[in-house]
Amino acid sequence: MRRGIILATCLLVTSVFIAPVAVAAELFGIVYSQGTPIANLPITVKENQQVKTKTGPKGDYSINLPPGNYTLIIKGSEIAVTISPAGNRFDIRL
Amino acid sequence: MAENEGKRVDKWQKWESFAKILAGFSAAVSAILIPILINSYTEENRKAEMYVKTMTEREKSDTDIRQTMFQGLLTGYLGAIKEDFTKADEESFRRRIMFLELLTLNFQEYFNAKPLFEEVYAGLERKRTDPKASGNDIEKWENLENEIIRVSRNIVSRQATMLNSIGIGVLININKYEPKLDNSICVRLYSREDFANLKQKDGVTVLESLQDGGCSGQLNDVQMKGTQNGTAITENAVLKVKMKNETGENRHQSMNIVLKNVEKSRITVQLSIYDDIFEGKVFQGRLLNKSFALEISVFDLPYMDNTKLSDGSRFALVLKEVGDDSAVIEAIRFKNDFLSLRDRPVFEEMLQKLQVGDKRK
Repeated sequence: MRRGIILATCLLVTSVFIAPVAVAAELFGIVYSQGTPIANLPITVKENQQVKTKTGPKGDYSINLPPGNYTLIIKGSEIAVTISPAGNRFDIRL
Repeated sequence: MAENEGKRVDKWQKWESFAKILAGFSAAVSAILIPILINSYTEENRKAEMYVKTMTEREKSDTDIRQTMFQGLLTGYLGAIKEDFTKADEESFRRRIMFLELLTLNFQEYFNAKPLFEEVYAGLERKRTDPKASGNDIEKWENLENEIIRVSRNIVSRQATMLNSIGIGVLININKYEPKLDNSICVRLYSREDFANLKQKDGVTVLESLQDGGCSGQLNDVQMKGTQNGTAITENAVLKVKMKNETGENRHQSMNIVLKNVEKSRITVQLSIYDDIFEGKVFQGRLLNKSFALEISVFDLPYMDNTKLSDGSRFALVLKEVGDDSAVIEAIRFKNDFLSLRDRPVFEEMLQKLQVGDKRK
């Protein structure tokens, strides 16, 4: 019984530490406005408003998040994206 | 002795015969070649003269047609204003917008139609904001406002595309300035070759067209290097002197943009132009050249509304989109000696023809 309790406690403690530590993957690409890369454009993630970035001088952006489905907010528009575990490129055309 | 004399005479006779043959041959060749050369030269001259005459006639015809067209369109536009002065209804505004579009599309290299666009837009704004206007009227005038903005954007877009083909442009989103965020933006007004060759202070990192947080690296006289003969020498003072003594090659410019105000058809920005200093190909710092407030309108035509830089090139700011507290502008840098496509093929074609003629000679 005692061994069982210790084992269960160890498993519980391990799961508490391992579960949330999902590996972040990179979503990157270029944002185009009417066919031209647009710089300095703010991008926010709807599901996590703390995650935000801006496009670079060549319209390029990069966001690191755990794999899954997200919604990017750009100039008031919502754009659905999927981040794969290996990271992926997603060009956005406004 | 008589024998030697005989031999000498023979020798001279042989030379005389040879000379006679050579003279005859040369005369024959000259008689053939000289006319050919003269004929060829005359033919080339004739072709060049004919070409210049044809191009001149063509230019003259083109100018006559355009003059007639311009007079017709301008008379039509001014006539429409006079006729509709008392009416000022939807139809009269539509007619004026149509004339403006025709005028600007056909004469955009020569005619700055911005005041006319603004005049029509101001008239529509007055109609829309009239306290007596009904809901339907407001919608009607707003649609016309959007229509004239669409017409202007179409023309501006064509001009911007043309300037981008001979220069370099960057599309930027700028947000209304917040001091806490320091969200001004610095645009480097360099040529494509400059971006390929010039480097940051570390001598390795390439320069980007944009720099976040404004144009940093401004030189000042605070840094002290030491003293020499009782005079304080500052590192930046040495560079400042160098900057003033040099012209042309080492001079490049950057522009700091701060968005102050946003309206439907215009934005107000504070522009600061900096002279960027390079030691060879390595960035050293920058000096403020001038700072001024500027209104950028949707009716600004980059062919006409542009600013000259200290290195002789020009830049234009095009208002692409307007948001609540932000705007999208395009900054285009292009050469000062730009000629429109309408003119360029004529000159280039003529020069090529003449050069081909020269090479054949």
